[in-house]
Amino acid sequence: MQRACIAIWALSISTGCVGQTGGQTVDFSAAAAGPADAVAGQALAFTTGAGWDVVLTQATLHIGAMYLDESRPISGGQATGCYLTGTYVAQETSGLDVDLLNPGLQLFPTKAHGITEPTALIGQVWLTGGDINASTDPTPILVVAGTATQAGAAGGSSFPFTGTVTISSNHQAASSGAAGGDPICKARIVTPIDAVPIETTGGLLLQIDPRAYFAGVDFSKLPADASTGGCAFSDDPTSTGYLPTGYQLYTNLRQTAPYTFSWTDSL
Amino acid sequence: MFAYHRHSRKRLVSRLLRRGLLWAPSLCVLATVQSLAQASDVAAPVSSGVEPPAVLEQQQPAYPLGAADSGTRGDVAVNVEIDAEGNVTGVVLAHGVESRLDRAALEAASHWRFRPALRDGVAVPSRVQLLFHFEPPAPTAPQPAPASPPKPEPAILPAALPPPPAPESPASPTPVPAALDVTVLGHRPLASRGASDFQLRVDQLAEIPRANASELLKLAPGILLTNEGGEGHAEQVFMRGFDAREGQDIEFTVDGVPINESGNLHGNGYADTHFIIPELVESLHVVEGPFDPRQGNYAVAGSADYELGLGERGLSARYTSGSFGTQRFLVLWGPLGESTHTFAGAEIYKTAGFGQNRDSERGSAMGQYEGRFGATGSFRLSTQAYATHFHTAGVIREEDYQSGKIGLYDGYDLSSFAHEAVRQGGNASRYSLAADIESHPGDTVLSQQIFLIKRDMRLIENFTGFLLDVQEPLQSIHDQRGDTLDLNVHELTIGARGSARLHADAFGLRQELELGYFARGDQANGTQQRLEAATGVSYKTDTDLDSQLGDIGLYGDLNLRPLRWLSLRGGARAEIVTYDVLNNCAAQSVAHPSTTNPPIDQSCLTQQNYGRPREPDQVTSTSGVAFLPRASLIAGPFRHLSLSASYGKGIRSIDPNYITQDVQAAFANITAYEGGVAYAGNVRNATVVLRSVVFRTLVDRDLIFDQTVGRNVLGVGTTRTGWLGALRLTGSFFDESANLTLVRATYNDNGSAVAYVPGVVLRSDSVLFRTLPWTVLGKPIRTTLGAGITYVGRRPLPYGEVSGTIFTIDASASAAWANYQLRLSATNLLDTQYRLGEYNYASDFHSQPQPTLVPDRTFTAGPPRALFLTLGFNFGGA
Repeated sequence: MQRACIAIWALSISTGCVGQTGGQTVDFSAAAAGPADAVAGQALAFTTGAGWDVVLTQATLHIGAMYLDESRPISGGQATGCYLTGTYVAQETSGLDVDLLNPGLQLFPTKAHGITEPTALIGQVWLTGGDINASTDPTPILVVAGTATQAGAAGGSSFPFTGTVTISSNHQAASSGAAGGDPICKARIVTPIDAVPIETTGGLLLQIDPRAYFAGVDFSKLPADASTGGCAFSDDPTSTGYLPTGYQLYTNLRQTAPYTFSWTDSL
Repeated sequence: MFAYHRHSRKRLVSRLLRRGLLWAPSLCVLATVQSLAQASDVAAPVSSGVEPPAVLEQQQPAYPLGAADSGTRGDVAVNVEIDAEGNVTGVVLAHGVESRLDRAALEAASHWRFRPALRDGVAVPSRVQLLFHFEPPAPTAPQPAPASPPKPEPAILPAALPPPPAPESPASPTPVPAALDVTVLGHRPLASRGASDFQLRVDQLAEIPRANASELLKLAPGILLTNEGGEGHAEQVFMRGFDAREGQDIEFTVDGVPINESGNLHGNGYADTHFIIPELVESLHVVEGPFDPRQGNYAVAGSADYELGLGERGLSARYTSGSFGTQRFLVLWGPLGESTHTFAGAEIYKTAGFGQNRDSERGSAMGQYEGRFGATGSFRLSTQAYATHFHTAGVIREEDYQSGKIGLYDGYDLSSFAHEAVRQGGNASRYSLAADIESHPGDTVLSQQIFLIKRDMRLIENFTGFLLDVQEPLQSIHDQRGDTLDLNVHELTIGARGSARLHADAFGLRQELELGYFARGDQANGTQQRLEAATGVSYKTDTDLDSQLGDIGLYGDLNLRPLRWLSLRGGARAEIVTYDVLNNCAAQSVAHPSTTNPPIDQSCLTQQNYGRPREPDQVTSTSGVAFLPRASLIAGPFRHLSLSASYGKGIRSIDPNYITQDVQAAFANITAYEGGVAYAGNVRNATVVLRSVVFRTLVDRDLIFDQTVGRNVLGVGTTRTGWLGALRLTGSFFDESANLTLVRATYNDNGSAVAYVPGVVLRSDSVLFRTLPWTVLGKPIRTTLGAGITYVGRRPLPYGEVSGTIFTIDASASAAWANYQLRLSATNLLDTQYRLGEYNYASDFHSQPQPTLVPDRTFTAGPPRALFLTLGFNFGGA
């Protein structure tokens, strides 16, 4: 018995047995998709909370990167940094243009990388075409098109609209260039989004519901677009037509409500 | 570490003369020669006493031509001086017969080789007397007139002594011809602490290619060396499951003078051994585990004392040239007639390094004089100077290598996406003076040593790329400026140690008691700043400390032998460590900064919450006292087997960066246990030393490497459990040292593995040596072949990852003729591509469009195959 114990102990620290430090490092697929009730190739029709019937014919979102982190942000807003505290546990660093009207899984070009411990608690979606800190970035982050009609107003005016949102110097906060101001990276990062634990099989899915982008938007206030004959969301905060619609769209884009992380075995 | 006990000279004959035992030595000599010899790399567990040298090669004198006419016969006695390597360094005629016979005897004696004399298992110089008996050849009987001319008589006939054995046959320890006296000169070795106490003679194993003195540590079991910081950066040492980082868990000394640097910002206890010229290392005393009361601060995994000496006398010069533009000039001087511990050496070295950003230059000089006073006293003066400047490639992300963004031997500093204005690397220097004295009043040994060390170092490293420069509240808007750490350390150390060893007889055996002390004071200034990648300008101060550190230890050590086969060795050590730390950058953040006068970009704040003013600096002071019992029980030898069990407690002083005012315990506590068995004897014609040890070590607060600050930080407690086996096999034409260590290191809180610690380390050093059967211009050619094999098993990495294995072979071949030597050596003979250091942490070197924030594999590449040719010559030697 004693010999067996010694042998087992010796085997346990022999060549073939390397101790575990905890958790696993995994590479996995990552994908994004539109809402589950959307139909690929078809427009998405919905009614906003402000009473507008919207038929969305185009909604494309450019995602620069996604991250999951172990920690929750410090309340009180002391931290203005773009990186979260604690250990990042998952990352997808390749960009993707997501068709938000397609519920199908749209894979990111490269595998994501993550660790199973510590557990992911919050997520970030980086809406950027390049360097998160670059003062200018011409990349269209959100492109939308459709028609909005006042709900219940039969025969009421419809407002065909388009919209392109960039997050560049146009959205640099007035004070962000000075000490104490918010850096442009903060404008490009959507967080905190509830995260999901990383597992050793399956993949990470980010579902985006474009309907949330139009919450509170009064389409009647959209400025006219002479080039299309319809309306267009302004992307220029200095223009007179920016408020309130352009601002609302930009603000909704950066809210966490449209974004949901999940772990799926379909990847 | 404990070599200050060296230089005691015991004149056995004079003592025996006083006791009227003149002829006893001869009997003792014969008796001990016939006994099984102790291996020279082990302070054998129990044996004490002298063993004379044993003959390995002998040459019999030919009866001189011309002397036969006179019919001279008789015995010629020659006194032969033998050094600690078994080489004959001098021959003196003790008793002659006739000049031609005398000359023949002297010539023959000069070509003998011995296994050196041993004292308590340690090789020491000695002197023996050889007796050559000459008989004239028998006259030939008259022959009738031949039809053809007679064949000439052989001109030379062998003398009447038994013929030597065949050259290639293993030489068994041949009894020495009737010696009249044996005088053994040497230092008094320390009593062994058990099976993990290794007295490692380098000897022939010096043939194995070694880049620096650190690599000699591999002769001890369980050692893995890595280095992510370049040739001027101390090696990261793994020993028996400990990641000792750059020496913080191993007490390093050179002939008792400390190498560990207290107060070094890179790691308290940082130990850089690159100043030691490897050719001047005579032996290495490694004790794995804190089992000796002499071991002080930093002896967590154990201790290593480099014992210097130069066996080859005369003036030696060597020039090495090889791969990657490597050149090395080395000059060594060992004056004839002086001890092997009197020497001088200097080297100049430069290399372009393999791959990118690995160039290095260094110069080192060491000198030592050992003298005597009185009948038995000795003293030593030593000095040392060293300076180096180097670059390092740093770490590489595995993903970047696999995707082809960076080559295996490249570095980010020169890449297009993570270019640095200031390349990683640094410089270092070390200057020291030391003096020690040993006297023997009566039956007591008194020793005293003082030392003074000046040490400066700069390290520029970047482990994380562009990750840590996060936008902080109220800072000027900035992007990631880069994480390059610029660390500067300036230290001055002064200290002393001394001891008194008393002897007495009890239980019919010799007992020993030693009382001793150690003291060092350190003044250390350390700063660490972060450099902007684009400009090299420092943009943040991480640390700025001025530290005054003290370390004083007292110990008592008893070597008790109640029975001839049983020894109890141990005692206790009391140690105090003191801190007085001026932090010049004490406040680096504030929860509620002033809104009207925000700190903006200050590194060292001059305000508290809500703008209340403060000075940027702060003094903290504390001290801690530790009581450290240590003991070893050794039984045997029983048929050459010895058993041992050891227990000990140790400490590791805390980095001054973590000291808070009046913190109670300024150190981590270590508790170690082990049990072992050792065999020392002869197998056929080879000396064998085998040992097997089971060990366990607990640390209450361990150090864990934090790449964000580039050094170890305090963590939770850990436990190491393992087994080691070691073999040293020495014969007349070979020397083999092999060891295997299996260990598991775990955290005490959750049982998970300690990252980076290898579970399996296997090392073999083998040398074959032979004098060729032919000569050139009457001088023999001595050849050696050496090979060093290293295998390191997979290592656990953070976040469940596992490293690869390491398997390398280093080899050398050399030939020595007359005063010249030529050597060809190869490191990584198989040109294996391997990762020397492997890690798993978050880093971002801008190699991808978006930051890489999740822990991922990084590594430092092991060097590819390198070839070196060395030409050396020696003049003025024996």
